[in-house]
Amino acid sequence: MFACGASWYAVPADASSEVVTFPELTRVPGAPAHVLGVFAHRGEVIPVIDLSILTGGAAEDSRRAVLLRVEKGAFALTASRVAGVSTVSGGTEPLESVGVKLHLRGPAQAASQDVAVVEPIGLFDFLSQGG
Amino acid sequence: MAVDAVSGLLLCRAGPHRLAFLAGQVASVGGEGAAGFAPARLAYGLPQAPGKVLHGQDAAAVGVDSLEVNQEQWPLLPTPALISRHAGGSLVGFVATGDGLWPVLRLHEFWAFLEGARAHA
Repeated sequence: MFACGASWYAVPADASSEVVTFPELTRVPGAPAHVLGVFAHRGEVIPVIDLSILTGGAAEDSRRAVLLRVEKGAFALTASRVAGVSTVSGGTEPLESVGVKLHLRGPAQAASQDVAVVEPIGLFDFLSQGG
Repeated sequence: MAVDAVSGLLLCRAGPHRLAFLAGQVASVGGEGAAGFAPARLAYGLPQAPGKVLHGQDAAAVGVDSLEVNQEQWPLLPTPALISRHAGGSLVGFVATGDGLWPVLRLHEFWAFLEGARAHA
């Protein structure tokens, strides 16, 4: 689980491969603000996404990110704090029926925090369609 | 992971941002006296500034702040699927130089994207 902006998020352990510190990013022309840019990681180009901007908050000021890998590719979510691996309990329904929060589930709790559980494949598809 | 190689690039700047084009897709480079070019700065939400215009084989014309011709051969890193639709689908891939990553763009598709963005601005 990790914090981004004012919120805590959890990602399934089987989709989160590592926590990375990324270098200066290269902006992608025409990309929305929540796509902060890309960096090269072990010969692969990784897009960095700011969940705080994506959910309507302020930009995250962090050079750390949680790297997620799904079948279609990899992406990284910025993180101001990383709290390791925890058991998540609580709701598993989408937080909203449309938009990015369709791919965030809860309300859930982990390590005494309210967390939203990221659904990696759905979020990837949402982002790749320009969301 | 299969990686193609690319050589003959125009390494360009739009404000502080890097972007590259395949030299084979650029027929000529001129000043901004030419009409009908689309500024690359538009893709970054930046105001227009003086620079050069890359002209394609057809009507495509993209304005950039500055450019340099690079003849080195670079591995072309694939475009991540998550961003392949950005910039009108014009991303060919990325090259990694000492300055960082450069997005390599198809000139005609990028110009068409900029024209569309300008129409909606």
